[in-house]
Amino acid sequence: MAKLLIRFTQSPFSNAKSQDGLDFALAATNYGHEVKVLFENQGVLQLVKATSTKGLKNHTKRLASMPFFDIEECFVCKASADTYDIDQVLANTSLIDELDCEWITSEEKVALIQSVDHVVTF
Amino acid sequence: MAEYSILITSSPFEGDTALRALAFIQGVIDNGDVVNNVFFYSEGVHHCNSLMLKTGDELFAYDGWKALAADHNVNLMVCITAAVKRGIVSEMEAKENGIAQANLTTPFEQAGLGEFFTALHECNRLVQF
Repeated sequence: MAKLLIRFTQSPFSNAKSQDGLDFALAATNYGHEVKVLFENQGVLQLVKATSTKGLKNHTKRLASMPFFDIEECFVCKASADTYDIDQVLANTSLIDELDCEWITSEEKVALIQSVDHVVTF
Repeated sequence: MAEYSILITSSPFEGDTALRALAFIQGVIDNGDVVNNVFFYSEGVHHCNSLMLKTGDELFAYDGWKALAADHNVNLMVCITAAVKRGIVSEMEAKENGIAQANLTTPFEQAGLGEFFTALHECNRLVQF
């Protein structure tokens, strides 16, 4: 069993990476690996709840399903959220509570990366 | 001796990424370490398109991957789900779906995320390009 940290760094709909990253994370726990996820840079935008659009997978709902795949440890980069000035948006319509996310600083991020075997970035 | 899994998520057209990946893998082999597999996922599946042509004096990564498989028996796995939706299909999918041309051939082999994660249990290093 390996401990994996999956970093989400892209906004949810600008490219396929967010979706591919989530598929990757969900598959990992199915095959006996331990997964932690970190939202940073534009990836924090994935935590803003989005409504369903026909023809697009609902990224909000899929992210919210992570606890059912034994992905319990979610982290959000505080500095990234500050950069995008989305604190207020996140406070009102956010996945952070549902996912039980923990805000972390840059120093804590280093410790988080050191706590896992592999880091994969999407 | 370390055992490596190499994850390719960048397309062949993203700057010097393919160049660095191939050089890194060669270095691993030269060091006497083992490359368990190279897994092409996300935009990385474009590396496996056999219909690409060489242009000018740029690196043609496709030949690099083929050489790795031929010279060092490196296992080249392509995520089938990520590949088919980007138009990278084997003979079988081409036939089944009435597509005129297959563009995924040996040494690239179709696999799923399951095979990648199963192989990861054997590896102590995972490196992403």
